[in-house]
Amino acid sequence: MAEKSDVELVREFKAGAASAFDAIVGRFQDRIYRLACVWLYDPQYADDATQEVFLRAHKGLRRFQFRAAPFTWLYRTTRYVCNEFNRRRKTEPLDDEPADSGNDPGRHVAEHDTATRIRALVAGLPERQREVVLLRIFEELSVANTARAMGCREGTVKALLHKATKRLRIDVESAGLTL
Amino acid sequence: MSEDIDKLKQDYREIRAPEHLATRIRAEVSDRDLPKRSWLPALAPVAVAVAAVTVAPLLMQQQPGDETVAPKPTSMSSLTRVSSLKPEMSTPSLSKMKSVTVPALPRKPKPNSEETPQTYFDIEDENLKEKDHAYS
Repeated sequence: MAEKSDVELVREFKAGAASAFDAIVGRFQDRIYRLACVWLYDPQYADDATQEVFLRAHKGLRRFQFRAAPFTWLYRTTRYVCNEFNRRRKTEPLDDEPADSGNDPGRHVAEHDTATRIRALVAGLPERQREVVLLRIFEELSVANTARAMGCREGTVKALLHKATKRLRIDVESAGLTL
Repeated sequence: MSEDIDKLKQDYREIRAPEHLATRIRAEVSDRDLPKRSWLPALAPVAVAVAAVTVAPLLMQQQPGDETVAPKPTSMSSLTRVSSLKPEMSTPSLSKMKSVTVPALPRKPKPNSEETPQTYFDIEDENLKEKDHAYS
């Protein structure tokens, strides 16, 4: 049986199928989690941020108009939630402990380390270039979908991508990191 | 794209969400799906108060012989309607009223000298007579 498309899943969820939401979570949770790891100042809170994104999706996707791809909507929500988390962290220290790391804390720590390394590299880029790198290079979105997610034209995406790649290459080489 | 960036991308895509995360999200979503009815107990006294305010005046109006309820003032229009109505009996004319026979009064008893009671004037006459006798 052919796998359902993102749009089909959202349609089923809107029609009231609870299992469709589980499928949406299963399909997107890794991508949202990765984005949160890079966008957040502290990747330890990526669990909480991902959970918050899906809770908002559970409410917001019921009104989804299919003007963009579902992942585009989820990406925008992730950015918004991560910015909220970062703002809170700046103004008031988060006293609540980050969520439990699950059954395999060793793997979790290693992933946090990777996320922190990648974040350190990507953080050197201006915000718009960072977004292009995440969406176009890392998440492999099309130029059109990247433009839709960022709310700009395709030409802007191409220009930003060119600058970002050039700068990232220099940063990686100068850092001398063994990736 | 350079090899370095490819490696970076590979590392990025190896990051996976913790296994328990989906279960956590599912649990949280089902919690939020439950209708929250914690406001119901707080609503009870409000409902009672509203019922009292709306029902109490109706009950008071329906009590029989209640003097506190002011009578409805008669409207001028209803008064004019009443005055225009003709009485069922025709009123008698003045000439007819004169000819109405009145039953005769009982007869006066005939004056009797022995049994006539003394009037005020008789007593006065006697007094005068006595005085005249004294001066004479």
